[in-house]
Amino acid sequence: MSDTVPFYIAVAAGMIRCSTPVLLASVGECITEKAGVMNLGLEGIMLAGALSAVMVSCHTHSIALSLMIAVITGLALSFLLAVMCLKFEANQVASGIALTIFLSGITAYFGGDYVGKSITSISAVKIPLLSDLPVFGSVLFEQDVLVYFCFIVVPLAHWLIYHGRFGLALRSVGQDPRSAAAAGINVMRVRLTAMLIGGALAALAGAYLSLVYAQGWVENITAGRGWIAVGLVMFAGWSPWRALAGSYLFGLAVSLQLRMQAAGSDISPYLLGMLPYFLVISVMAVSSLLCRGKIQGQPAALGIPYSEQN
Amino acid sequence: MLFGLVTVGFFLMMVGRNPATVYSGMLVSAFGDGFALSETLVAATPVLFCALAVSISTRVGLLNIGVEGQMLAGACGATFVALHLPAQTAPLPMLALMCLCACLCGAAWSAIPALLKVYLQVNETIVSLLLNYVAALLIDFLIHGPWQDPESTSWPQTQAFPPGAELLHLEGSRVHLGLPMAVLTGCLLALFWSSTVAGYKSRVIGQSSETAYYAHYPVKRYLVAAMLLSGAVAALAGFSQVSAIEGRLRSGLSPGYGYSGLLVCFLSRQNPIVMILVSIFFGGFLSGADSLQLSEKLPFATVNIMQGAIFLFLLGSEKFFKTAATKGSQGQVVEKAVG
Repeated sequence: MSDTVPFYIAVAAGMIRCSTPVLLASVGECITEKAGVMNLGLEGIMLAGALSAVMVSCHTHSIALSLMIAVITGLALSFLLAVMCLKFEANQVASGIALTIFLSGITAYFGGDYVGKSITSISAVKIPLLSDLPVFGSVLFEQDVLVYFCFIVVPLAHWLIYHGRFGLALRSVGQDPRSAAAAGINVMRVRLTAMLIGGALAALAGAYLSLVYAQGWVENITAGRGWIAVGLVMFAGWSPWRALAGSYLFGLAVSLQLRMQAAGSDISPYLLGMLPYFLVISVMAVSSLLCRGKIQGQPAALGIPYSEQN
Repeated sequence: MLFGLVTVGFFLMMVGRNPATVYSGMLVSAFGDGFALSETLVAATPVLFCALAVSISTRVGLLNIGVEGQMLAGACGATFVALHLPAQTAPLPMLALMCLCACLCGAAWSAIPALLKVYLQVNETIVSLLLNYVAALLIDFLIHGPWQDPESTSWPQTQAFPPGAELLHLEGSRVHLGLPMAVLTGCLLALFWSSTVAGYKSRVIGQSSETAYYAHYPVKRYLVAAMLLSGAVAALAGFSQVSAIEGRLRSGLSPGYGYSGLLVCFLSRQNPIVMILVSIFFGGFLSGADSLQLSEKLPFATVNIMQGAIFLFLLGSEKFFKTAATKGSQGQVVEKAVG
């Protein structure tokens, strides 16, 4: 992006870019939580996705392959977490945190060799015609493939949750697994599927961070974006569209912060860095205030392990 | 736990290390001699504070993962006092004020998730976690900005504290007064939960908030109080670290003591007395890993890998423990009935 671009367009385009990882992760988490499972390993899975993408990109220079490997990593890790939470009925909050601690160690260990290595990053693709639109053109349609993927994934996730056979199964499993089981739904399988989708999207979000956003690997690259995504899901009332709004808000805060830093603002970068975190916290508080404490859309069985025996 | 260690052993073999030498190296550098033992106790102190802090919140059914941030906030509070009181202040009022200010800061830090939880039903786990990042940024801001040592502009850290701000040490080692303070806190908590009405009520709230609600307990007040106390105890860890170990505020104050504390709390099944022992074990773990960095060239990240693995296996095995426990208690009931 050249320097002649007006400030607000640069901020808006940055907003789209900064929000993408959080958006992917929170949409995935919407699906997972709708099935009644909390995946708090999101942060760790994002880290692992980011690192695996960098590793593959470093050695093969193939974007498609690195994205694929990242997704596979996400699937494998969320399967691991699913075994913990579904099969062994472990505390979902604690196992997610444990997984994140574990993966932050693993990625720091293996990532050491990849710090500062040059990688093939994903370049922006201009969409013909649409990118010629004034303002919106350069903000929305001069981005990379994963941003376009986001545009598709939100309506797709909405459809997946609220329409169709699988959506019905998903929501009933999250609401009342025992009744769902009585109606002939395989609770474990639906929950596992939801967790796998969420994990794959989280890993993709991580890959976006390392391949596009940071263009390389740095230790703890996510800097809490996984937790932010979990927070945004609550703000969003488990709806992908509202998760989109929340992510854009987060992206706006980050983008503004980066632009202000680049413009040589007097405010300390550390104080500016706090902005996105405070934003997410206050957004959670305000949305809860508006709902008068009764949060709509919360799956009744969220976080409660389901066992087939009793 | 054993499973976790074995898995990490495999991992070590994978990266071309002999797990036996690594573990024995850790053991020796953790409990091998007097010096090793003292370093273990030094590392155990903040872990114990953090574990106790987590357990205060889990007792009432909340999960405060913000202990890391509350600890950092406490360190800021203590530093504020140490830097702003005249350097000639006598040790006793100086330390008392540092401690008090640390507790206030820690409690203020945990007040945010507490109030949001109680009045707006915002998830306290997420909020307290996000605040960990904010606390780390706050320290970065302070040591790069207003509190930076004017004499060493190249190092982002505060001035060294005046001698009066140093916590009492055991002769010839780094073990400090923080350890007995932590142990005392643990004992007091154990006493509080087992033999006071308030302790009993907080247990009821933790196990079934509906029961507590119908029994007309002041649930909200208990939840807020527990979170504030939790933050204050976590802040004590920050206070004792800056006062006794670092002697100044700098970044990298904690290699994740808060998360270790979380693990210790879960491992000890929230029993404060058990927590003291498990913390010492974990202190050995941390100080052992510290020396491994030098001897085996294993990065500190290995600690996180081990902790995470142990934690995962612990949680995974809980189901079996539970079934065993219920069987055990049923057995007792049967025996009683027969007897």
